[in-house]
Amino acid sequence: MEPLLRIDQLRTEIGLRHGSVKAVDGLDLEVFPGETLGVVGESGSGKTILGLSIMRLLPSGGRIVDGRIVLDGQDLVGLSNKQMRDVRGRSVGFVFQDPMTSLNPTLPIGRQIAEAVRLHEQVTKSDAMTRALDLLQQVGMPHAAERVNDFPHQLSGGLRQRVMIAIALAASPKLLIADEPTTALDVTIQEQILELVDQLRRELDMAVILVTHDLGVIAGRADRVAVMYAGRVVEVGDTAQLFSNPRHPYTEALLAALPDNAAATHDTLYTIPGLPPDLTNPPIGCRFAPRCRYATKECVAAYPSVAGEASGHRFACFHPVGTPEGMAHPIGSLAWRRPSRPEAGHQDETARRSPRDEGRELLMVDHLVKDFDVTSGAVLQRKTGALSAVADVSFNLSAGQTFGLVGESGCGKSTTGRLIVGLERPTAGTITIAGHDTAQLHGRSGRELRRNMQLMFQDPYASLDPRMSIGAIVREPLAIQRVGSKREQERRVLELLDEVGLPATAVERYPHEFSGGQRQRVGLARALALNPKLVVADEPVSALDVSVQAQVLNLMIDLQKRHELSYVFISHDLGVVRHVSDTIGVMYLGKLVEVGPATECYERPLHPYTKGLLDAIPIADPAREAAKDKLRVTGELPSAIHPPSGCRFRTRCPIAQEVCAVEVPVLRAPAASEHLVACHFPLGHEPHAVAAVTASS
Amino acid sequence: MIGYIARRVVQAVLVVFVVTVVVFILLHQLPGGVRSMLGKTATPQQVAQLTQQLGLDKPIPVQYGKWLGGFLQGNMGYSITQNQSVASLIAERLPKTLVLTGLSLAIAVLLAIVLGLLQAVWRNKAVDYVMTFVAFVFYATPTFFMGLILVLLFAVKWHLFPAQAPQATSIGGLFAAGSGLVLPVATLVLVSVALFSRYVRASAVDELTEDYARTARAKGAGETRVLFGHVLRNVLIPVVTLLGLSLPWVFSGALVVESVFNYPGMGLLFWQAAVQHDYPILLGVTVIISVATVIGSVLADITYAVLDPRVRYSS
Repeated sequence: MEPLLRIDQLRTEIGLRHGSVKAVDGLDLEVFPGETLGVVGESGSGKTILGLSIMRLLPSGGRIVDGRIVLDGQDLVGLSNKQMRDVRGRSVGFVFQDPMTSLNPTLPIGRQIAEAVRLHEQVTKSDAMTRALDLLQQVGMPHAAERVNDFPHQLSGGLRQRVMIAIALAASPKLLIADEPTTALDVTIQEQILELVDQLRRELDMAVILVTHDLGVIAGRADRVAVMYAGRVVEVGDTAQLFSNPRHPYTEALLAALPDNAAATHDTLYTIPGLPPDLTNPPIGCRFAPRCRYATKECVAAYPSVAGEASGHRFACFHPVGTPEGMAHPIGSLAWRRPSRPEAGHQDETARRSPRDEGRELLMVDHLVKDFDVTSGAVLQRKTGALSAVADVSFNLSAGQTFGLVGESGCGKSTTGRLIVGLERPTAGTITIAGHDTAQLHGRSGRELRRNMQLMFQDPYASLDPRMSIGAIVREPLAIQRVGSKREQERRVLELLDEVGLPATAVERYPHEFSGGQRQRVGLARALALNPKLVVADEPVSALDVSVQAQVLNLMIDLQKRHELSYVFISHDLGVVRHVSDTIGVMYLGKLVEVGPATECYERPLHPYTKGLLDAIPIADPAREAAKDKLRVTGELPSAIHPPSGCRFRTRCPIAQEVCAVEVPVLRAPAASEHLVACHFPLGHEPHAVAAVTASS
Repeated sequence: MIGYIARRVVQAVLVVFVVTVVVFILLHQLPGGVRSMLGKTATPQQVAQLTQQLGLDKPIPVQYGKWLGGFLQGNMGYSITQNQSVASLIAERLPKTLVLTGLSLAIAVLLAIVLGLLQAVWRNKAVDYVMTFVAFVFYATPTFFMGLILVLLFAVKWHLFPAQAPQATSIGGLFAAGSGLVLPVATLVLVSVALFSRYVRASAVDELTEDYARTARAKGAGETRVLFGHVLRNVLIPVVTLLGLSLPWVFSGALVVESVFNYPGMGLLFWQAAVQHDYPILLGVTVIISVATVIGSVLADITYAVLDPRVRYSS
């Protein structure tokens, strides 16, 4: 079959003040009509620049230096700007990553779609608006006719991404490039968007290039996969083949670094040592060689030629996985699989503890409620309502354990974290840490107790003051709490940096000199400075690449063992949470809907929401992904100002009954275990007390 | 939206009230007073008599109450030197100042938008640098000096425009002798254009690299369309706020320009009143200017809301 798009030896450079980054450096790729090609790579691999090169929409300083991009027999590299405008939108549609910023905030969505229509077809304004409405319906916008004059900020992220897709499809392109289309969205919404793109691809018979860092997304949706590393495709092949039989060591390592693929909870994850090469001056040889455990002299001397199989599975490696030289060190034999939890006795003891064994609990959260006031009024702002961010949440955490708090955006997990460390005051309920009620804390004793609890933030870029040196950042908690003399504080800073795996020279340097993973290590060092008992980590790894994420998670688990730390680990990523947590709490719209041992929750979810969330998470294994019997969570998160009556999840629940709208389900165990669920119809169990409810109502 | 406007108007009324109190107290602290009005030869009896006649012997709150009562009924007192009510003087002069400032602002902003956008498109090229340089030279020139240079070149040397503003009593008369308006307006435009064009340029440079501009390009839109269809609206939002905030600055510029060109507006009135210690006029003009400034910033906020749907709907 003739490819729709063929890229030959593409070289794209981004000019800097000194030198230029060879972001894409000799890349070959083919896309066939009607197929989904997944392009996967970590940040800096050049995958986004590849997409933008095809559109010739490179950021300033960027230019295509060499190579051909042949779309339908036409080389895009040689086209004039005017000719290129006909290609954009008409032949190639583009869906960008961030639907929050990719739409014009000052124009109604209908007009933005109609503009795309009118740029390529001679139609009247009103005809274009009719087309825009059709497109909105096609992309599944609920109540499209009423929404057509809405502005982007009135829509949720998922709906905005639907608008972006409608714009991209306006002129019926043959190729759709989706650059991380769901990275900014929640998993249940991600599932909906990916399904939509897939369905539209079939209906419109177009090819899709799905660019992502998420191997799971690729596994479920792509026909073929291209793995990018340092500006080149290192391996390309049929999805099933590539996942079951990766030949390039980088692909293999990437798969091994996923928490899903770790043998058990708390195992040390496989990590890829080192960092990707500096692309202003890339090495001559294989770019992965410095981080590859199969690498030999040969690998450093020259770039391996692309070897292939008849099936189209091609890879650029001298020692592909599965060959005798590649077999020398199979990944499973490496020492990365450390025994889980050496203190097995400790684990048993934990299991025997009753959840209300108050003497041993480090943290007790009891009926925690947080409402934020909603105000309105022309002149005097009156309180007219309340946004129910956290509604009656209770859980306990023992010393040395991790409580994983999972949920989608807006579920109240971050607010819960902020309440625990005292950054917000609860509306009702109590938080007890090491026997002290945090509400009673004022002045000196309050400051002393704060030492016990620290926060680790999500964004490693925004949470470090760019004008403070690393030393000053890590020392600040010590200075605020007046711990020791200046000299002692400085010594402690060095100790901390060493503990989180940063060189002592980091003290003098500034945050911008470090990578995301290193910055998160600084964040961890800062959180640990005061020897806290409890660290609340709010999405600590969600901004990091898979291989770096694994390094940070390993470090966190290691430090926990050494210092008997307790973590409240907040994340939207169930795979990561399961890996680090002893107990998991699933939150939905301010409510804790399920609490239980990590593996239990993951393998035998009781709440339909937990099941839906688990099913929506794409697994990086095409076979398992295809075999899933999915419980689909439809629709959007309701407003927390007017939460649904009864069970808050009922509006999106596939098994909801009348009783769910009447009676608020309470957390209880359907069987004799520590696995609690707030649902009238827990999965795999007899309905809870439904008879009682129907009798009383 | 209506609630939003109502809230801003109530705030504005409060601000004006506070301004009148502050101005009233400050003017009464000024040195000079009745003695300097009457001149050095006045006897103490004459001074006392006039003080009583003008009500200046009463406590300040009482004086203020009396003034405020009159002000609310449109009576701002009586000029000490001009034998005319302050209200009628202002009514005669204010429209002319509005013509001068309005015309200058409109031209300056339009020019700034064009220049700023051009600079953003040609950013970091020679044209951009030259424009920036010239704009800053004008911005850094004192208003009176700019006025004098223009007079020297265009009136004295080349006889293109008159050196004095038209002395007509009506607005129509001002425009009838329109050539006399050129130099005063040009002076204000030149010194203020940089204020806006720098802003437009910076804002447009940012907006051109925004994601939504890239989306527009990905649809197949050309650069002109991206600039005028998408970027311009977003650029205007901060400029509108700046416009509202720049009103005091423009009024003070007008004060200088009016005295340089003998333009019969409120600035000249204020200038003369200040020289002659005519307190009722000073008070009246200051209050009117502060009201105009507050109205300007309210209008800017409302326009901002119209331009930016995020503000419009969140209230």
